[in-house]
Amino acid sequence: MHRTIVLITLSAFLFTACGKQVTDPELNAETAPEWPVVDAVASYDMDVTLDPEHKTLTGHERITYVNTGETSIHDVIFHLYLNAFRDDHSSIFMQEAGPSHRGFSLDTDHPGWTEVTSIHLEDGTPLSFELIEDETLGRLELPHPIAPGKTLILEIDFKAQLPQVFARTGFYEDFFMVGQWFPKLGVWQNDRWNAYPFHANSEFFADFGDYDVRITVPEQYVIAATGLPVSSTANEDGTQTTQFEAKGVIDFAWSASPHFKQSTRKVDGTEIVYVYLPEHEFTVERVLYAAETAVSHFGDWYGMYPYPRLTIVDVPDQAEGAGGMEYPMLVAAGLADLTGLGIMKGRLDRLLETVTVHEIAHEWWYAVVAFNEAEEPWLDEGITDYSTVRLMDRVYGPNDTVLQLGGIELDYLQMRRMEYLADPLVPMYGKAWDFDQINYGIATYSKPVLALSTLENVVGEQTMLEIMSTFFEQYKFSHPTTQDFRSVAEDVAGQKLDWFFDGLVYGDDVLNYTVTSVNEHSLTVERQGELIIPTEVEVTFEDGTTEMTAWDGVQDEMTFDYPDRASIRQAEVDPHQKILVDLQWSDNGLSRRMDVMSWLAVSARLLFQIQDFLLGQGGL
Amino acid sequence: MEQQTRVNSLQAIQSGLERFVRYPQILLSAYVLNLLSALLLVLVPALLLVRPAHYTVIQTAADGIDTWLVTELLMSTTTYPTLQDSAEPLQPGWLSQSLLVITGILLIMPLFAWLPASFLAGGTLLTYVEAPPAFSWQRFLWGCWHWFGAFLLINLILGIVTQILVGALLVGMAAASSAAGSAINWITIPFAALVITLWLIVLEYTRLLAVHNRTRNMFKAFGSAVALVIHRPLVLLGFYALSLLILLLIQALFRALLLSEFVSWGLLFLIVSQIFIMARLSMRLIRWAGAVAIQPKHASAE
Repeated sequence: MHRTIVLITLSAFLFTACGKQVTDPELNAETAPEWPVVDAVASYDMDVTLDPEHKTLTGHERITYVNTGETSIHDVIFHLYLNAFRDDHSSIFMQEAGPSHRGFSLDTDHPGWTEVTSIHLEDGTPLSFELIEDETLGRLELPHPIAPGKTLILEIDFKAQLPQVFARTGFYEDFFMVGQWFPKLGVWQNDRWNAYPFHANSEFFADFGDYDVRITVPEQYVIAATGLPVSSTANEDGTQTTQFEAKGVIDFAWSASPHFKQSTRKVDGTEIVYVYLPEHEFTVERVLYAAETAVSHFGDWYGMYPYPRLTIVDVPDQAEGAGGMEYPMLVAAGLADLTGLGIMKGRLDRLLETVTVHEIAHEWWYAVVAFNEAEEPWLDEGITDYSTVRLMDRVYGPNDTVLQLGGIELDYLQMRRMEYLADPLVPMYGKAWDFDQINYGIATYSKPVLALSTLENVVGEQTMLEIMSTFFEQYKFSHPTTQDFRSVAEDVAGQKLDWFFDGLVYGDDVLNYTVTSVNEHSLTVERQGELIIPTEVEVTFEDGTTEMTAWDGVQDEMTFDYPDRASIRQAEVDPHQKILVDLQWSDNGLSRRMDVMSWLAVSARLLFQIQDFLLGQGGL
Repeated sequence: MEQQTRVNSLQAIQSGLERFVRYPQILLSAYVLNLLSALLLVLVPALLLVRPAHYTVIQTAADGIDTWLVTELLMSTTTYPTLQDSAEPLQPGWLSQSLLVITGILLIMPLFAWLPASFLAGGTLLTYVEAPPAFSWQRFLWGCWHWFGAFLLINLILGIVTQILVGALLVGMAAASSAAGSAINWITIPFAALVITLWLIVLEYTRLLAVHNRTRNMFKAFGSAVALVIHRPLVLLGFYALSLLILLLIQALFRALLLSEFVSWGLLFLIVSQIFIMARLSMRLIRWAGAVAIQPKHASAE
């Protein structure tokens, strides 16, 4: 495994002056950056030229691939993701998506595709190449197998047409978000290529490697990219070529616009660069603060961010489909304004911060601990979103992390709980395409957030942090699975966590705890559903004293007796609402007698709300 | 040609305040009708809450509805069947019942808002227009009955037109924003706000001028209201802006009070909230009485 990471002090070479362009290499040349030491499996040396008028890319890549498996490889599979966007019906992606993604439709006048124009070995031997599946995969037969430990070098020329922004990538006017743009190898695992066609719900999976990329754009353009800019050359034809270097990463994405401005901040040795559009100047402080706290907290909780730079790219209001996406060392921020009209400027909501934090959390749980997002999306999005909730609660307060509008507050965790309650029977585990779009959201975001938060409440905060940091440390720069996570979690917690993994991850178990009766000296609690999570029962007596009793929840009904105590006033199971997957908290507590004063108070509030509404609706 | 009164916005408010104070019976009528309507609507949910009042969640709700409770309430239609399938039938199905009742109440609430308001408007405006030395219940109730049907009709028609107008403005704003960028919102939003404000003033003056001119011909009254708004837009806008400002101050004061622990106790909340309702009603009536001072002087009797 890749255990040795050299973390670095980068103050000498990183950008220090706000207002310098991202592509300005001058401030970057004093000392060489130190990168994490990672065994490179698939490395890419690329040249690409953007034609902003025709929205096309012309590129050449030299792929250096090391067979780290135990058997010889006879063919190579690579992804051509942009081919999913040739039209609105023929690809698997479009058929599954229906054909919209995150509410945005593909503009069929501006489709996307990748065409491999030539492919050969390092020595010039041409190779036969075929498109397979729905043409989002390519396969080539090798003249000689690659033996274990041996290296293959491929030279590929390609052209790509960028779509109008759709499903994370493309252009909007002169803004370009260039993701999944080059022919990229699948992952050789267990004597086969782990590479699927591009599915609508699925994200990506790739090997770690080193990237050396030279991007040519018109000279007025500013580029933000994975990695660090190491040189820039002005060309005679009015273009500029900027070279970016990234080591120990699983992908390379970049963005360009002539309007980009930038602001930077440094935290824990990492330079955070926010590249934004002038109309979103108001987001600078918000995004940088969110990023700074995210890098700092996640570093404390899980392990240090291992790369020298993190770039955050702003997207135009009209190109929201390009936002809210993670790439190694680069994330695309989300909608700058809740209304999408640039009116509220995020004064009432924290969606911009939430999305920024979420995407940055992916730098730990995707970019470094590189899950197979196609086969086990819950690990990728679930752990990331759990980290997001955790951070938003602690930094911004637990009750209003999404919306703060007058007396109306909405926090992220409750939003996720609402989604979970819509269909709690969805297992978290499954391939991305096993779910429809709604259930994908529940299985990979909502339910894992609640399940992991419940796990934290059950095992305790410190143990949970130890689980997560151990998991990060053991599996950074590799591709762990659910079983790996289970192994670490149970080892660190020192207990079997069947309820979590068998009940919630793989299973469709549900749970509702309730107090069914309260008598003078006894009470009965009930577990409805098959999910068993240890909890507590709090009893309040008429003399004002309370007693907390542990209940393992194994029996579906349990009676507790208190013969020597004062009469029971009320009893509550899970009184602190630690079990977030409990389907109904509202039946967790029962009083022996009706609470008349509370009933009157609620009725008074209802009365007032109705009076107020009548006044608002009527002329009087 | 009708002669216009020469009052400015502040004088109109003062005039409205004088007339409002002179006839407290109107405030009493309006409050009682509002309270009775609300009591009728709250009866069923309050009775439904008797059983849940055994659950400790009622204590949470008494301090104000938390997000998690709203979440459960909204999602009870999906969680309840889930539990029915996977476990013994649940004892408390009150969440689902509550949701059903709330939906029913929301559906009939506009009716409960418009009927009393349409009924009281005629008598209220007639009293303020005629400004008799002493309040007459007989004249007040005659006014209520005389314009009841006409006001119901005009509320219905103009209500629909208002929805269409607001919808068209929203679509226009979205289209403009999409075509020209978000900066255009700095123009379109104030413009839309102005159009809606002027439209609402026309609506209010349609009723007022119908009473003033002793007519039930709402289209004629509508025409007079449009003419008035065209002739005295600044005074009217100033008057309504002042009214709005006072209302916002009342709202702010009440919301600030709500945030304090002081009013978390049920009975105190009841008292404070009813004072707020009275204050809102008063402001509405002062506005109506003040609007009389701006409208044309001479009435043309039916």
